[in-house]
Amino acid sequence: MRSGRSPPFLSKQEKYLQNKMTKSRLQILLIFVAIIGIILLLLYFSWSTLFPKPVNLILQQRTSNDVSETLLLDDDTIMGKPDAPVLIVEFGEFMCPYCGQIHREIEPLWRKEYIETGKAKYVFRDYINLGHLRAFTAAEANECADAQGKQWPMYDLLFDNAYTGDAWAQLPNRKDFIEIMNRYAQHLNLDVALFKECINNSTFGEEVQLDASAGSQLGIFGTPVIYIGNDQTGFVKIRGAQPYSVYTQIIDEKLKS
Amino acid sequence: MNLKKTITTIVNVLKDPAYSFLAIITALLMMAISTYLLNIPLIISTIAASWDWTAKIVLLFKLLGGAITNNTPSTLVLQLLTSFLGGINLALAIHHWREQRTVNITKNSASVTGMSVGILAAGCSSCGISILALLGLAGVITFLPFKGLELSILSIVLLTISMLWMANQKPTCALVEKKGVKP
Repeated sequence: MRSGRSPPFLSKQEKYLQNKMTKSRLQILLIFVAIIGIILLLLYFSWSTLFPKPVNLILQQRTSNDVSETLLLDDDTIMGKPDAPVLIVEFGEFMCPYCGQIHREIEPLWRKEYIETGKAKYVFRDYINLGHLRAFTAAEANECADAQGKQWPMYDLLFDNAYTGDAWAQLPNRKDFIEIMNRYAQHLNLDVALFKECINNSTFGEEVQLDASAGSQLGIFGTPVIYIGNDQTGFVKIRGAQPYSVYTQIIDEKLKS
Repeated sequence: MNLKKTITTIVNVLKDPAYSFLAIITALLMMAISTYLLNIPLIISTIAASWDWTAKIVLLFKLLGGAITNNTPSTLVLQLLTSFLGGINLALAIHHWREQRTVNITKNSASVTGMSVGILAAGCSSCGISILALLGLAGVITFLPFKGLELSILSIVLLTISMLWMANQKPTCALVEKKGVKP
């Protein structure tokens, strides 16, 4: 039954079977074409996101025209020694549970192993996800604390209490949420009146938006996204919360090169 | 549909080591694809890096751990379920193809759609770290009441239906008839 033609001596049953075989071959072909079509469509729509042009991610190449320390750093506060050889930049958000996971499980190890030893410096930049109502004001509260020199303690408080303790991320009432932010300011011995004014006037709203715009320009569409590297060896972009060993291996390779 | 008989058919197919192996490999592949898809640029840069190959392979293996760290317990369970149902579906489809030499478009489409939706739904949709967000559909997820979890459930429903359909197909003895046909 190799030929597509029906020989004249085929019986009715044989013709039925031949038709059935041809039909199933056609069905397989249709499924195959549909799968290829779906893959091509997905590739067409996701190409620019999967392979963003301005970001050169080849580890050993210099990326002065693409991702650079200047572009990544902006004016955000650095944790660690400014001259540390490796820069870790996290685009994150206080309501994102996976950023919270990085804060709880990975960042303390980074602090101990790389930041306190002067091998790396860390910067947290804001990227607000759609639908996360309180995240913008939380980011502003962090900037307001930064203006009084207390960014990192406020950053710890915000992450630690987003879904546990005060669970500010789940509060339906904005007034209650602002009260919690003011309580944190008090707890950190900030000038509360100044802090309240900063929040009410949305003093750092533009700064938070600028961080998010920078993220969008870098092809970021969700959090957490972490860049590790330096101007000499280029930057590596890591999406999502990965195991600690992934980050350490990349930092160690960067330190070696 | 006789559910008991259908389940017995599925179990009988999976009792064959070749089919159970195929189901497990497919499930693991689905998990790996949904984990790797998020970090394709990182994978490319790792392969292109001037590290030694052992370090590259080790990093690629470590990235698979993202399946656990980038999921909540509930999304991980849903993803595992989707992957294993996907594996069983493929094993059943191949078993059916080998036995009957026919393909049912409706049942296989449900299976392929279920597997695709399962892969798309993987990751943290609410933080925009999912394959759907990668395709520029992060905004769509915001409007879903369970922030993308419903896609995993849809995938499981589709895969379960197609699995039961495939297992419930009555043999048509096409193989026996075919043997009698001589061109």
